[in-house]
Amino acid sequence: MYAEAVTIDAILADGHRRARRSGATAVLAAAVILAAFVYSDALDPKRYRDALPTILTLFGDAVPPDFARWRSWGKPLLDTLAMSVVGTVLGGLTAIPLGALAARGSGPAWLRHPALLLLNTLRSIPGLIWGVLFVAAVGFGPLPGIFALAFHSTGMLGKFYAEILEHMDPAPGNALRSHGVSELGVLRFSVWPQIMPRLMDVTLYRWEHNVRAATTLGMVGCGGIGQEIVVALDQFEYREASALILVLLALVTAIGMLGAGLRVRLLERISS
Amino acid sequence: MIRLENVTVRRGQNEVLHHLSAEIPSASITAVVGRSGVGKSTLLGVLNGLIRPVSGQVSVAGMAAMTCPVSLREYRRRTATVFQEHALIDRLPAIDNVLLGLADRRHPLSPLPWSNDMRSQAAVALNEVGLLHRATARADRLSGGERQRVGVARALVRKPSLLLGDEPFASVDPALVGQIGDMLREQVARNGMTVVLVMHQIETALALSDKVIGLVNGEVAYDGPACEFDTEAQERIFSM
Repeated sequence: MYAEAVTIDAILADGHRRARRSGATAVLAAAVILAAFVYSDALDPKRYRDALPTILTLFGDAVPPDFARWRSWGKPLLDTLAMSVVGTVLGGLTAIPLGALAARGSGPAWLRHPALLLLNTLRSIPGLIWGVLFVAAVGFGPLPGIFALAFHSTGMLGKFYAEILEHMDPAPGNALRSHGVSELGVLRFSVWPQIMPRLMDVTLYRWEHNVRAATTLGMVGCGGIGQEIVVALDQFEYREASALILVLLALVTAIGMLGAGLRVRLLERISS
Repeated sequence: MIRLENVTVRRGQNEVLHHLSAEIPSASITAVVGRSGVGKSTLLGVLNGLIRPVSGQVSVAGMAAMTCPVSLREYRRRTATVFQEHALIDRLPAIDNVLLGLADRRHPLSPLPWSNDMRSQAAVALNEVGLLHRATARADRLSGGERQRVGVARALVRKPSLLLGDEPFASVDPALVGQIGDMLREQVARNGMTVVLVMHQIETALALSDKVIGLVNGEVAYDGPACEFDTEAQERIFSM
């Protein structure tokens, strides 16, 4: 019956049409990318003429790194770490209900689009802008940094959590419902065991990101190691700034390794 | 005894079950047979309360109307279902999946682990389906047949008075079908369990069941003892 409707010629014509469409899309994408390079002067050789000597001069002023004030860096480092931990936890906790509302089929349908819009807004505003806003609201120090990280993390994590919930297998939950298990019981015994490893995976990844983000927030007055780097650069203490950057690199690498190790273990639990 | 009276179920514009009436006797095995898409799984969904008919009613001897949430919950507590797609949580070990059959007997917010008594019950159920040696294997490392047997164990651990099975032998090899069938017969004889199995393998259905309900286009085309299900009935139900 269907063989009459679909002929070989039609299938070949469809193949040609798809190939033409793919080619046109590739050419258009390449044109957009090239236009962006040209518009931003990234292909202008004049812009690079003086760059290399300047970078070499800065590099010369920054070596060898000066660790003389290392005793005073403990608190800023702790501030940065604490900001990243608290910001991630607050963001994650807020993202759970918002993610559940934003996921298709998991909350009231009329609330899904408002929840998606809210998450989109929270992650569309860059962390630095959130930082400036919260410095103005609650003053300098780690507290505005925590709020900035939490707000932006809520937007990102809520989106990820919603996707995790949407890809969850509903069958085990239906099996429990058919046994008279309450919705809370379904959440505890079917939903949670399924989503927990992936939830932890994306949250740990976000924590790694937030350690780096907490550093840049120091530049707008949120304290931490980032603020120390800005102060050192403002005072032309390039050797101290390079030492601080090395310390930051060590911290970020250590956190990255810790997070990656934990995530690998979680993923093994999911897929092995 | 479970009585279905004039049950109609619609999915969108389609009427999946059409004024269906049938009786399912207690302490027996009833097979629901028919071609794909005739409403067998929908009938099972009505029987376990996951699908609400648009008209008609399901009544269970000794229980209040199923429309009442309290009686529906009580009915479900006495019911267990084996699903065609197993409905297991892949990353959990087989024993933990069986324990999910006892989830309604544990507070959802309890921080305590499953009790030793519950673990023992789950181990006994796994042993009954011949899978005790695979108790700690993750569900996604089990074969299709093993997963199905875990699904059966999760149902049996509830010691249900009504066991519903949606193609429970679809991915189980023939030797095990006989073994699980014997086990179900023993449960029926010993505990008075009522079993309703949706099946497409008519030979297995006739060998296992006491009664057959044959469906064609959402209507009952045969309702009678398995031993009287003849070639004519088979042609009526399975012919194109």
